Amino acid sequence: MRILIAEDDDISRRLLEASLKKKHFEVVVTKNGEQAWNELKKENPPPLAILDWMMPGMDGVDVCKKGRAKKSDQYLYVIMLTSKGQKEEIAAGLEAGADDYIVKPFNPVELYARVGVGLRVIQLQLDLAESIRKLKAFDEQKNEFLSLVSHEIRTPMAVMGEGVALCLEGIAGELTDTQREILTDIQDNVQRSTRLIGDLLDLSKIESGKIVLRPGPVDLINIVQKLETGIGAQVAQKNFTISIDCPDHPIKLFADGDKINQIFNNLISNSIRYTESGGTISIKVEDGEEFVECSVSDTGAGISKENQKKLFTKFSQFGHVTGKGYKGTGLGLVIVKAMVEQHGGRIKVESEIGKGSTFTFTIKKVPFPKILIVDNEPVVIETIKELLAEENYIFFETTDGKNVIPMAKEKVPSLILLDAQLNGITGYEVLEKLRKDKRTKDMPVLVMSASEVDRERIGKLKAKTPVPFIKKPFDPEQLKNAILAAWTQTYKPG
Amino acid sequence: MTDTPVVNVHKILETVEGDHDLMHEIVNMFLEEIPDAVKELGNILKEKDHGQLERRAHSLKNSIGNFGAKTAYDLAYELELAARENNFDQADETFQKLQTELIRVKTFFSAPDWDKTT
Repeated sequence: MRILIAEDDDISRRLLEASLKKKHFEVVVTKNGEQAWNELKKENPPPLAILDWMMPGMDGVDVCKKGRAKKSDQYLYVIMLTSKGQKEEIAAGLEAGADDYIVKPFNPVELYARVGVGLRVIQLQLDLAESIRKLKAFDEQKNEFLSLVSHEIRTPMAVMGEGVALCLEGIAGELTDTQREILTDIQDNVQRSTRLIGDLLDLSKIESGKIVLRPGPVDLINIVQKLETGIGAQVAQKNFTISIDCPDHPIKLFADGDKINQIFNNLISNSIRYTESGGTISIKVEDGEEFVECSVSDTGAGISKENQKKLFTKFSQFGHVTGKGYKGTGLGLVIVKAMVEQHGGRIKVESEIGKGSTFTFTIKKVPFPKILIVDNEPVVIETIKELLAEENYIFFETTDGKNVIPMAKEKVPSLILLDAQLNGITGYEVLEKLRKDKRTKDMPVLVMSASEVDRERIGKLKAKTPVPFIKKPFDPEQLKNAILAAWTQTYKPG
Repeated sequence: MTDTPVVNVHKILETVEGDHDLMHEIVNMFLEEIPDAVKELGNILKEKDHGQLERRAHSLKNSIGNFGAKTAYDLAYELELAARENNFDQADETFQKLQTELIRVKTFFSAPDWDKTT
């Protein structure tokens, strides 16, 4: 074990060194704070430092703070050296970060005891770090296992589901009432298992960071209005009242519409499960400056304070379900929370037993992407802008290839739509220049051309990620999809 | 004051865990330090720089502490306190006493058999 000493007084330093060497420690001796810090900033520094607190220049506190600020897997255990009668110094030192102290003139027996404490702490910290490392590895294995198993089960489950559905349709002959009843029961359970597997898959994707948002221009109001048709059947069955309260103007967001839809659906199906017939489920949307706030409320059973804390935690509900006839994985809200956070938002719950629950989440309003359109035909530029008119994008344009670099630097577009055949300079030359400048080299570029030759040339370009290509003339859907695909990787509001 | 032993050899032996070579090594270091310390303290006193005086007295006090020289230790501490209070009359007086005591310490360590004393 190596121990660092920093002490400007010759005699104290010699005594410390001699005492520690007698106990077979490897001692790194320094005479001042600067030397001590030089040792500590090296790779694999001593884990324990005995620092004189009062030194000219860089003193013990400085060394301690710098040592701690350094990013390292190992904790630096600091014993401060101080003089008799310096009670304030001891208190201040411990507060500033020292783990322990020794008063000079020191007694070797005490020195060993205090170093011993330090070694125990260091060992505990190492054990802890090792345990964390192992647990993380196990967790990763668990996620892989979860994902693998879920995938494997999903296919036979789909086959079963289809088979049962076909039987119920009468394909295999007329059914008796009993047969129908049994098959319906099987169908319900197949559906439940499929949902559960879906949840597990989503969770393993979230945990391993594999859920990628596919953002695009969406109208939140449109999503909310469609929700009502989706849940209509369930609502009619239990005689629910659905109330939707949202602004009458569209709320255009650049976000992942499917995920937002899933967030709402998860919250609403929870509300339906926990609310008795005749209850009310309210969906509310409020538009704000930076965020949109959405909420789903019910007049259901409510959630105790204790359980509210556990709601967004994995498996907190798994296996011990209380609600009537309700069986879920308890993963829905974990998934919802992750999706909300991916959108740069937050989720919270307010609830009272017997009165109902309200889940409120926010979605961050990120600026709409800026697109730089480069084509030597102004008509083409106009056509593209018309095709994308509903998408709320911000456009910049130029017909001159030489303008691309300066415009890219000034406007910092989210995407450059680049025609391969420009006047004076080719699209390839422009692309090459963009890749050479560190300010523009990571900008997504979508190359367009009417010529198949260009598609081949683009395919052969050496680049970190393949440069996407779209052939003219294109229909609006093709263009929209190509644009969405081009920046899926770079979008991260969370 | 004269009843207190000039140096506590017992204490030094405890610090060096009975290592006589180490004891002689640090005593020699100390004997070399004393004249430098006295000279420096004298200069600082003339300049009336109380901050520097406090630091120098403090560090000398720490050195003395290793040798169980109780009287010298107390005087160095008194000097440190006088400096802290910016009391130079007191500091001058204490410095005189400290010098005398340090001579006694030096004399003690000059005796051929000092390490046999208990």
